[in-house]
Amino acid sequence: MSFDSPVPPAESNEALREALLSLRRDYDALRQAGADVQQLLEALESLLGVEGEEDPFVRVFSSLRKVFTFSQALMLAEPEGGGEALECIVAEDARLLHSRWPVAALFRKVMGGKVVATFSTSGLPEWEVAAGLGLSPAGSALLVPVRVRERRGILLLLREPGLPGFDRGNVALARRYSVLVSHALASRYAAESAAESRRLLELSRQLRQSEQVAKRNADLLQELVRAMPVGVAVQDEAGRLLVVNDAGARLLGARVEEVLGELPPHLRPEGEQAQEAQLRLTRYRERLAGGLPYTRERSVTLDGEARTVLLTGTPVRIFDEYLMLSTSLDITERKRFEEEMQRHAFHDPLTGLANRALMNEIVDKAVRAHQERGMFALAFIDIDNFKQVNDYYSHGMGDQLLIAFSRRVAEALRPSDTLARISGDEFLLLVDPAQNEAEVARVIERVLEACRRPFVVEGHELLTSASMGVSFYPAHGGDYETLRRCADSAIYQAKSLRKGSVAYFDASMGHALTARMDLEQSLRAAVRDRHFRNAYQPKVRLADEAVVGFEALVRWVEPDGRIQPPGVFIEMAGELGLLDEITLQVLDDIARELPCLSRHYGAGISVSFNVSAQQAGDMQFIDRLLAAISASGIARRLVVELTEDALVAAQQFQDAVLPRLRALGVRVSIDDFGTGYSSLSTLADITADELKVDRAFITGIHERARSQGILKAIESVCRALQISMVAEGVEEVEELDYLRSHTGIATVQGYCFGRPAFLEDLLPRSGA
Amino acid sequence: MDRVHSCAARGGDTAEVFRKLTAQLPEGARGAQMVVAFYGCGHDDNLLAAELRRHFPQAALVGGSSAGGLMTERGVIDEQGIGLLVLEDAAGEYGAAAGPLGHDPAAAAEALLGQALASCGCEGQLPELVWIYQAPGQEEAVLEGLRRVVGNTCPIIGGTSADETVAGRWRQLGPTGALSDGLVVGVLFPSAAVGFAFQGGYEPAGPSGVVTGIGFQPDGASGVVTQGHGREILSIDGEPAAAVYNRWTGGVIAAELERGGSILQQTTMFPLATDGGRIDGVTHYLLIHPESVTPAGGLRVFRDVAAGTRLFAMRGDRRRLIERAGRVSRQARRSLPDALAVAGALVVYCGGCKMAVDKEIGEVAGAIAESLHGAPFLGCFTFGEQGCLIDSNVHGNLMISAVVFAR
Repeated sequence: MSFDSPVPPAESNEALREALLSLRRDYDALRQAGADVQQLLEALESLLGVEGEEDPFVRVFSSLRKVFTFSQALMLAEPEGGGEALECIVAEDARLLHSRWPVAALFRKVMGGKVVATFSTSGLPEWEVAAGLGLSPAGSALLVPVRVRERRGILLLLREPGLPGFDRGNVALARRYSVLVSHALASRYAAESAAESRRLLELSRQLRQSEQVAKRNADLLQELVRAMPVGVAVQDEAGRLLVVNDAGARLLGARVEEVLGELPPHLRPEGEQAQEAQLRLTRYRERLAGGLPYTRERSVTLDGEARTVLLTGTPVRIFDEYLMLSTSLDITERKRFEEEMQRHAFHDPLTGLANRALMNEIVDKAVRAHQERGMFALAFIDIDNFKQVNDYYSHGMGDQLLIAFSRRVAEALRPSDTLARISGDEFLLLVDPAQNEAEVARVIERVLEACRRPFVVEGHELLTSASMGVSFYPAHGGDYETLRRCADSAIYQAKSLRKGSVAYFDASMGHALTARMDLEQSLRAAVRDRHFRNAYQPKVRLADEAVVGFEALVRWVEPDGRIQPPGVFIEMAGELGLLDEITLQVLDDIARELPCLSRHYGAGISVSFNVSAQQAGDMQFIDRLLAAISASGIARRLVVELTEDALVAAQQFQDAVLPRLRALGVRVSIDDFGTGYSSLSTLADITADELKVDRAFITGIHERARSQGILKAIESVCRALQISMVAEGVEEVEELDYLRSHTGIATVQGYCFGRPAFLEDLLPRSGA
Repeated sequence: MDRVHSCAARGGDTAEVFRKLTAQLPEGARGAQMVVAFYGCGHDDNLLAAELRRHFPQAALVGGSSAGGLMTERGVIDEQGIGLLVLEDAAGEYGAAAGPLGHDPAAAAEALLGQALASCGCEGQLPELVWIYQAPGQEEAVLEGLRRVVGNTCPIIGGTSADETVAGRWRQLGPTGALSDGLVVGVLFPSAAVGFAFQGGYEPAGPSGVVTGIGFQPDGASGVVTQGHGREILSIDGEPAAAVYNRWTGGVIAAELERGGSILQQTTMFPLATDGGRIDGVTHYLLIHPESVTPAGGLRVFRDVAAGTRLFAMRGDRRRLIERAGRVSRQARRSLPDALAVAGALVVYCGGCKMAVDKEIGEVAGAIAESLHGAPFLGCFTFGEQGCLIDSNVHGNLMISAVVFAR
């Protein structure tokens, strides 16, 4: 609207009226325009205030009510998936929601951007659906184009029949409103789009970042794969290498670039190996089709050297492609190590001979081989007096003797025979095959003869011999263990008769073996069930014949009440490895019975128990023993008796065990002194609290001047070394008198003062 | 609005004149969406219609005879003239329909409005403007029929076709051809804004009186009074209307009071008026042009008047009649939103006023042209004017209306 002067030059009434009317019109127009602007601004403000997920059309409709008067309002829009009809996406009346309105000329005009008011919609195609929705075609309608994102839409305002129709003023206002709504929605969606755009940008940035990370990871992975010490390869269905790293290619005897994309060399059906390669290729494809993973070893030649390669293959399916993932590892060194370990597992490290386990397998194999017919012999070989050699010279000398011995025996054997070292100085010989016993005897005799010849070890000439016990398959047994026990029985027999001889297993040995096996079983059960009890023999002070201590001597009390002395079972217990348990049970019983002994004999009495030379050299047992002594709480009341040989031979006993015993307060006694290989001078090397002179020197001491002299010498040394002495085996009064009158020995032990007795047998007598 | 062209030419040969007209138009004007044609009664308007249909095949055709010529921004052309206003508006929609008024002008108008809307595929849609051109005598009925459809929601603007001598030679031109007792209805949906003004330029002279007697309108042969309004005012305040009028006007129809007859020219400066509504206490007058004195001493007028209506004596003067057209056009222009420029205009100027201003009608055209800043316009001279007065579509006399199309 322009503002050029409305006042005509003449100031007639008509002119004034006209001017007034003109001003009024201008004013009304301005006021209306202002009202329109205000309404539009309020509508705009309302529209732009739509937040978050709020439906903007709620605001649209509420803003419409401020601008227009209508009975119904609904929003029609092009369907998102396309289509001819418009869909009612928003309506104040929920019944109208999702109704579909056909598009004809009127709607097309409006969607083209024109605001249209209708005074009647009767007969219009677009209104065909309206009747079903309860909308009268007789009412006026205002159709306003609105853009909702990429969809065109129509805002439909309806007035009921009878109400004044929408006029051109409404149309003009609706044009502005249309622009406003579309812009407001566009702004909102643009803001959303902007936000969405920012979000997408951020997503894009994150994706790029992820991509970079992924690429970096992929590169890293690629480098890792390339650098892996294990060969990695991926092959396709045809066997071609899609992926192979440096290690994998090297194990194929090639470089990566030579094999990538090609068949590996061993699968290429070309040259002399074509047929074989083709077979391998066929097997490969079968494996791939089978879908089962595999592991196998393959021998290859790399740089002229034979190598063993461990191959694993796993068929996989990735993105509809069948692939073989495989790894390859050069295990040549490992194989060597395994073989070495195998050898060690089945061979004696000192002599290189088969060990017990391997011998077992070899004998089992022989049994299987001779199941139908044939025979073979299994012979135990034991070096006579090997222990003395070990003790006298050194363990190193002993080892050298064993090595020389094993070589000497091996030379005497046939190529088919097998020699094994099963423990210490014990060997097993398999004479296989054997036509008859005479043939075996000839082999045995050669071995014996070979063993009789002197051995020169480290400049020393050693004379020794071997005892042998022989059993025959199938006569004496059908398995390794039986044959071994038979041979063991036979050697036991041979040793007891004459060293350096041979004994062939027979029925009597079988009985002995059976008895031995029974004894073994019984002994094992006795250890398990703690059928051992201590028999205590008192040590008496010579001056007043007061009991100053006891020696605990183990007895095996069988379930039927029979009491077995140590001589029956100690050796076997040692062989079977049961002696440790028996010794610990002895200690347990001492700890349990000492309070009673103390009550009757005084709190100062001591109890001694025996430890064998073998035990003295077994640190594992010593640890257990010391722990048990410590736990018993009676360490200061205990005396450990060891033979002089044990003390002399086990150097580490002196160095490592004695200090620990001393620290606990346990005393050490040299038992059976005079019977070992030690001399008096060795007493200087032994740290002991007590020395027990063997009964050999005490028996008939009153009549044997030589023994008297020896005893005097021993006493003199003990006095000098401040070692107390005990005389063992005092049985006669005369012996007692002599000791009392001619020696300074303070303590005696023997039948003279009491035999070893169980606690309950001991107490009544002492209590009497 | 793409373009509006006006052209005018004169001559005795309709075809020749038409050729002159089209020569003034660019070739592109042939695609015009609407053509308004005014012409002198002497032209062969059927031929004109045919030529128009041929030359402007897409256009909605409206128009009719104009009293004593027509005017454009270039001036006035006499009764031998034909003038065209050509609207090129591809984004707009324009329709027209024409038909006889028949015995039920209201129904005819309603039907023709529907036909006009249908002609441009705008059934049921509210036009920006309804343009009518009709034969004299049934204007109120026509408006009633049109209001049944659109009420007062859109302006109904137009004129009553006229001739040079009030001899019944008036014509109406529509899409189907020319009519003599018909109605042409045009519906306009321009792409740009439309402004309009409808005004009378007289002021009250002072006297007023109430219509107490109306000549009845017989319904057919029965003579039964069917309505309390009509175009023959029998009495005012109980006195013979002509005498009252003569007194109000100081005796301008004294001679005709005795002998009766046409008083068109005398009454041009002294119309009657009814109260057309008030704005802020200021009355808008809807003018009545007394046509003749009846033998009964009544006044025949050019519009319906209802018994009981107060009539006001109005007066004007020549200068104001000349200037009024410019003011109305200016007002119409100023009613365009946002000071939009004018593409063209359509002006209806009362034929009676034209007779009153006589040779100075050229100044009228000039005033209009000036107020429209030289934009093309076409003006006709009519025997009645229809327009929107205070939001009501009414028929008046001695009014001027201007419809302005924004660019």
